[in-house]
Amino acid sequence: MLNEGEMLMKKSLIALAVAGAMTAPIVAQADATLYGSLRAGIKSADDQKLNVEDESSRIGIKGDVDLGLESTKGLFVFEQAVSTESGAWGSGRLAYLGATGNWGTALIGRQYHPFYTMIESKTGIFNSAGNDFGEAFQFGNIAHKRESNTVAYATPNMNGLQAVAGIVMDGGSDNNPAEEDLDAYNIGVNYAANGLDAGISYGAANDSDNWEILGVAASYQIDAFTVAGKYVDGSIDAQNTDFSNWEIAGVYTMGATSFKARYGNAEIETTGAADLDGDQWGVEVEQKLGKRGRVYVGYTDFDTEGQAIASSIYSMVKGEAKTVAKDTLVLGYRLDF
Amino acid sequence: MLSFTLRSGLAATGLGMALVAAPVWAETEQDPWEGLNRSIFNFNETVDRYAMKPLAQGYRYVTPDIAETGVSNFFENLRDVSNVFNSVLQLKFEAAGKGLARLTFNSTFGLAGFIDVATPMGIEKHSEDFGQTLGYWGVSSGPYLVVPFWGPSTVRDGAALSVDWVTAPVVYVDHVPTRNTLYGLDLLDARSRLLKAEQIISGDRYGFIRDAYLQRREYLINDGAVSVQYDSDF
Repeated sequence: MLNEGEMLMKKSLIALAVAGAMTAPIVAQADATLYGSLRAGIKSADDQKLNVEDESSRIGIKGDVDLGLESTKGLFVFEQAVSTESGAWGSGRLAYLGATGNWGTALIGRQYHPFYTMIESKTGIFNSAGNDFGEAFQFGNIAHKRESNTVAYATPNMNGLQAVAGIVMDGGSDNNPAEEDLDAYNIGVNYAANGLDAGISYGAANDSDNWEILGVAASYQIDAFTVAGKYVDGSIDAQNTDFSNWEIAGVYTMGATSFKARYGNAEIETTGAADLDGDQWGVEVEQKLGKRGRVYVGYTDFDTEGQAIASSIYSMVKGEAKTVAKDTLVLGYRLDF
Repeated sequence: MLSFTLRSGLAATGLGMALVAAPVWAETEQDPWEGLNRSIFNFNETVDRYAMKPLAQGYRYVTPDIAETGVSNFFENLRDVSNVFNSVLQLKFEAAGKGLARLTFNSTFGLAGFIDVATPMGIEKHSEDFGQTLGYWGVSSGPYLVVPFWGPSTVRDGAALSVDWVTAPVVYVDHVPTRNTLYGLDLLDARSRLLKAEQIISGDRYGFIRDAYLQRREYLINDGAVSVQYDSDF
C-alpha cells in the first residue's frame, strides 16, 4: 500500500512523464545530438608526484537545422571542455554555425583550422593529446588549431579531394597600426582515398606577430598498419624566430588492441639566442573496450633540448609558462557517448 | 574448477593430455637413459615429498585463495616477458603483440601484475619458451632427461632453460634476498598449482609423467596440432 506522500510522488512522476512525452517531439524537431568524451588518467611525470588528471574531456551539442532550402541545411556545433579533475566546465572548444550543401560548407565561429585537421592531426596518434605529450611538437597549434573569430569555406569532397580556406578577423582599434582587418588566414588542400590521406596547408598572421607556417603531412594505411609523416616549417618575424618540425608515426592494430609509436624532431632558431634542436619519442598501447570505451598506457620522453622546445611551444599555445616534464607515463581511461 | 587448473598449470595440461591420449606410451627410443633418469626422478620425488609438497600444502592452507591467485598472476605476468621474446623468435608477431599488450595492461592497470586484467579485456595468453623456439626451428628434442630439482625435460629443453633463465625478469633483481624470495615464492606457487592436477596420475608415476611431458611439449611446439596415432594400440 502507498501512503499519502508516496501517492503524491507517484502523481507528480506521472505528470512529469506526461510533460516529458509532450516536449519530446519538440526536441526531435531541433535534431540536436548531445555527445561527449570523458577521459581521465593517472600521470607519472619526471620530477613530479603522481597526478590524477583530466585528459581533454569534452561535452558538446551538435545538430542540423532545416532552412527550407533545397540541398542546403544549417548546422551547428557547441563543444565545451569539461574537466574530470576540477569537476567544472572548462574553456570553450568549438562554437560555430554554418550551412552545408552540394556547393560546399561555410562556417562562422570558433572552429578547427585546416592546419590542424589536415597536417598536425595526421601524426597526432596518441590518446594523451596534451601539449606535454601527444601534441608537444605541434607548432601549428600556436595559431591554427581551434580558433575563434574565424570564417571558413570548404569545398565539397570531390572524389577524396577537398580544399578549405579560412580567415580570422578579431577586431581591434583603427588607431592601432599593428591591427589589421584580416588578422590571419589558413588554407589547406587534402586528398584522402584508397588508404592514402595527404594534405598541405599554409597559414599566416598579419597582425603584430607576423607569423607564417607551411606544413605537409601524409598517412597511408596498409591492412592493419598505418604509417604517417609530417613536416612543418615556419617563422615568427616579430621574434626573429624560425622553427621546423618533422614526425614519423606508426600504428599497428590487432583487433581491439593498437600499438603506436612516434618519433619527432623540432628546431627553433632565434637571432641572438642559442639554437635548439631536440627530439621526442613516444609509445602507446591502446585497448578498445566495446565501441565506446578504451584504456591506454602511454609513455613519452624528450631529450634536453626537446624538453626546452616543448616547454616553449606550451607557453605560446597556453599563454602560461610551464616546464614540460622530461618523461611521462600515462594510464588513461576513456568513455565516449 | 578442475579444468581451469588443468589449463593454467604447464605440466598440469600435459597430465590432462596424457589422460586423454592414454594409454599411448612414448616409444622407448625417446628415453634411452631411463636408468639414470629413474634415479634422478626418485631423488626429485624424495625432495618433493619431504620438502616441496608439504611446503606447498602449507602455503595453500594458510594463504587466502585471492592471494594465491594474485601471486600466480604476478609470476605469470613476468613470464609474459619470455613469451614475447620467444614469440618474436618464432616469428609469431600476433602472439608477441598480445603478450606485449598483456604486459602493458597487467603491469599498470593490473597493479604490477597481481590482477590479470588483460584476459577479461580479451587479450589471451600465449605461452612460449626457448625450448619451444628451438623446436619451432626444427631442433629435435633429443633424449628425455630428468633434471635434478627441476623435473622432466629433454636435452634440448634442458639446455634452453639457461636462455629462459635470463629472459625471466627476476634474474635482474639486484637485491639478493628479494631475488631469492621471488624465486622461492615462484617455486611454491608452481608446486601448489600442481597439487590438484597430480591426483589424476595413475600407474607407473615415472612413465606417466614422462609421457605427459613429452606429449605436452609436442602439443605446445605445434601450437595445439598434435598427431596422435590412435590405432597403434588396437
